[in-house]
Amino acid sequence: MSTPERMPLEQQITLIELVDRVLNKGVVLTGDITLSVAGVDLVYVGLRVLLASVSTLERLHEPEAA
Amino acid sequence: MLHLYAVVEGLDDLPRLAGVAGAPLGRLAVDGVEAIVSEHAVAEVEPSDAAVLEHAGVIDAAMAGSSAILPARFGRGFPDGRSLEEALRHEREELTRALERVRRCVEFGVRMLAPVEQPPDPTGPLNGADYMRARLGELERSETLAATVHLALAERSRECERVASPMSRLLLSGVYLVPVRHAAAFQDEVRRLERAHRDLGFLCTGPWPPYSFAAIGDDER
Repeated sequence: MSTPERMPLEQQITLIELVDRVLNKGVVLTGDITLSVAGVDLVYVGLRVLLASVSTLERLHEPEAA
Repeated sequence: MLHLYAVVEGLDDLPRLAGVAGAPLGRLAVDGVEAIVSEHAVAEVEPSDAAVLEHAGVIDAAMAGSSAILPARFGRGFPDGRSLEEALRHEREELTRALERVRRCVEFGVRMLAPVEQPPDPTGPLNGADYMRARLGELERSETLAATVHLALAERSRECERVASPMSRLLLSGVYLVPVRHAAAFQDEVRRLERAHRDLGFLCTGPWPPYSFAAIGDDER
């Protein structure tokens, strides 16, 4: 997806999860061939972005913990 | 070709919005199972950023107006109405069962992450065997914790699935099918778990349409 780094973290995560669901999950009927872009790569890329974002998330949560 | 958005039950009206690439939405019913589609002159619809969001937008809107929905995976589409009708007829029983399973339910995704860095052991260097034992103990504690959290969330779900994680920091990745009327209680439970484990990162997304619980046939979990 385009320029996710400019979006707030919560939105980034939601977008990654949305794309994962639309391309990798959901019902598939006989005759509807699924797309080759779907698969492990997308989820893995998404997760990497997610994990990279966690330090930001942890900073967001610090005031609560204090 | 026909692009498929979802299989629905008890849909009053089609969502008042356009589908992928501005195409008008249509409905196609066979023996009580109904599909939401749009017709396109092109051979196949590309899953661009916009198309993915439009596909998801139709599913969100259709979910609000129906009693049960199986979101469709973004596919290459059906050549014509007849081929889709055949598929619906052929898989009617399984679709009906799947609709029953997800009726009035939403989905949540929950991830639990270990802290970014493991602090070095202050007691000094360990020999290889001690290190291995310490590391194994750590992994066992992590797994016990992940299993406990998963169980607490599973108890509030109609169905759930723990997804295998490709990364050790991601202690838990799960999807949970939750009745709409218990959705707030589920989110409260996630917040309670988060407060109980402040050193861990919790990510909860949703409520989603039940994408992860819509599979039928060979895909069925």
